[in-house]
Amino acid sequence: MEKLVNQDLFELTTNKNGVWIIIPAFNEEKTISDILQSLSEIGYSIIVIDDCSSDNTCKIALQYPVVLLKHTINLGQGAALQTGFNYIRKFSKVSCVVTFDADGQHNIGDIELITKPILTGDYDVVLGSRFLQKKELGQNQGGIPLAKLVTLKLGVLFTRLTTKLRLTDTHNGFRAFSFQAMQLINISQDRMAHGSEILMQIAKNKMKYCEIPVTIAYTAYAKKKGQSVFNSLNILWDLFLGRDE
Amino acid sequence: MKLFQIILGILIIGGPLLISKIKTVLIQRLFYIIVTLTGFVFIIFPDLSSKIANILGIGRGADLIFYVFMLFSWFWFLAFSMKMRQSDRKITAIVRFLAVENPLKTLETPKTPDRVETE
Repeated sequence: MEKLVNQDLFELTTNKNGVWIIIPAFNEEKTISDILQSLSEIGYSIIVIDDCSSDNTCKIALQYPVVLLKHTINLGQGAALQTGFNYIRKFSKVSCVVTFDADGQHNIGDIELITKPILTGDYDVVLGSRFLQKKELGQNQGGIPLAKLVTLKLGVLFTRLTTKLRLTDTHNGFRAFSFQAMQLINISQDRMAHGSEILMQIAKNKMKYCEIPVTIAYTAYAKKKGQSVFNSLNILWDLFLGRDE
Repeated sequence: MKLFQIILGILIIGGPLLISKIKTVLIQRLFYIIVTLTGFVFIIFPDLSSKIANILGIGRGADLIFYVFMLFSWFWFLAFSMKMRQSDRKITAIVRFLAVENPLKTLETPKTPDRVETE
């Protein structure tokens, strides 16, 4: 993928408009307001995909300077992300696309770190890792429920076996793509299996990727909204059925 | 290992691959018709199932029918799941198209015409 010239680089790193943040949201009225407030203050271009929420998520999002797309029926996080990708593909002045959770687990301050390797043209994809930071700081993986930790580690092993990607955290929703890389991603897994599917496409398209440490907040709300450990069986089943295409 | 165990094992494990390869609806329907007709034949000729069972090493005809039913259910479940998935993808495409083409809010402020020209 072509490298950016210095002037373009300066423009892109100083102008946040080229960075698009995709936020899939389903019944996130408690957290989305704070997230949209902070992100819009920084000046990012934001796109919220309301996945047919039954609460006030949609009304809240309307109050902020965002693009708001609404699914008329609930499809799932994977489908919402792809809807965001499809919308952004219409634009030309996009330097970086970040996927960000609406449940408040991700740290807004990390966006700058995750977009930097894309904006400098060094990588096509940057993946957030909750384990990398702990390793660097010499901390244990506190805060993560044990069952979740085991499942995430099994996910790492599964990814290593199926895609040969060497990652420390394979199911982290915090990712950044270059515009060109995003155009190659086509998520067909509507629900949670999209995490593995994205990694498979990164491997298939031989994208240049790296991981950076990000902070994941395990608040009571996020734990409630998050995936059940048993859902990993559903993910495997979806991947199994979807593998023929 | 008996002959029927090998055949059943291959069909159960290879089922998903087989089902995913059979894209033609006609072949799938023919498969279901053949299974149903075989059921009728077993009802009309009750001894036939026992004879086939003996050849395959199953022993009882009732067991043969049970195994065939089990296999049929597995194939049907896989085919149905894949069909559902295809339908889901079509629904997703429609919902996505509607969402992308009709944003509830965009970053650009919509330009309203000063006056509406009517013929």
